[in-house]
Amino acid sequence: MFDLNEKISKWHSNLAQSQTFEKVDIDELETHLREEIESLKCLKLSDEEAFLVATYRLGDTARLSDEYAKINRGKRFRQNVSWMITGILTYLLATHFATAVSKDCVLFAANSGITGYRGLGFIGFGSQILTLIATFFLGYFICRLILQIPGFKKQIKQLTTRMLLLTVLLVFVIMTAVYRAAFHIPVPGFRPMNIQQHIVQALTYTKFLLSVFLPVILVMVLIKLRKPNLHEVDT
Amino acid sequence: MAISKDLVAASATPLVLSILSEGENYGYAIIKRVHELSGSQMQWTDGMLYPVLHRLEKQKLIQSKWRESKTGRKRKYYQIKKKGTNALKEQQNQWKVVYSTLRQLWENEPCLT
Repeated sequence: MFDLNEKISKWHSNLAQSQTFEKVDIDELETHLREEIESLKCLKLSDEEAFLVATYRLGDTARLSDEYAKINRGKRFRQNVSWMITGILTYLLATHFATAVSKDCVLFAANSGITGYRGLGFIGFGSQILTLIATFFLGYFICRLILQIPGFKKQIKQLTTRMLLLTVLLVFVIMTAVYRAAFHIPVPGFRPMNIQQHIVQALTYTKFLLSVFLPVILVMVLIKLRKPNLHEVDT
Repeated sequence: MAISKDLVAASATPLVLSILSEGENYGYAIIKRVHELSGSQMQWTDGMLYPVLHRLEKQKLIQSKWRESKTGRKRKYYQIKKKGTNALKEQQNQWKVVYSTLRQLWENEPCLT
């Protein structure tokens, strides 16, 4: 049995894969396709015949994609930069998480009586690598799982993506703050410090600021790069 | 008789601008109008109209808005802007020159008629 809606949504996702179309472009083409199909059906064509004729008249995907690529040049650039920034953010997040976990593991090990450079070093290094890999895989699977929920993609496009990004950012900043405060920042005491201690302190603060503000800047750029796909609808 | 691709491409801008100068319209209806006016002799691949529309929109000759039609279908309506009307006038003048040049040549050539 020929399912027209299924065929159209397949055609839709086929266009979406070519990445040169903005979402509104495909919506516009789909409106066209549906109107053409309707008028063909008035001429007593079956669903299948109408679909075939209408898609033929609209032109094949490769040629359409080429034409749209000429006018949507900015899209590919935005997409590439978005992926790059997402990559950097993920890396930052994962390394951060891994470092924090490995510190905890070392502390825990030290408290449970393991001593010596080798033992603790091994635990620190091993846990860091494992957490790093685990974070990447976990992130990957969570993303895949989320994207499989029907209709979710549409919803997150609007508002939730931003919320999601902000939440990730918030978690990141809190983690950074706690972890830096707990382990790293030398308490600026009243005792006199020598020049080296001053340098170390300055560097630590710089690192701290960078680790907080770099992700903030990256997320801002990411949000800015997302072109909102809102249809303005008047009635 | 099918009109050559180059000629179709060259005439796309003045055609679209002229149709929009009659009033706002959406892609599907624009194509239907071209078919109707040309007696189906101008065969556009339907999808190729939209890149033309988007290009004109980028050049700020036309503007667009999504709106719900009476049947409840969401359509993207295009409207000509002042800059577009001026561009159309310019195009009209150019096409008139081309047309009158060709006509003069062809009128003096009895073999063709």
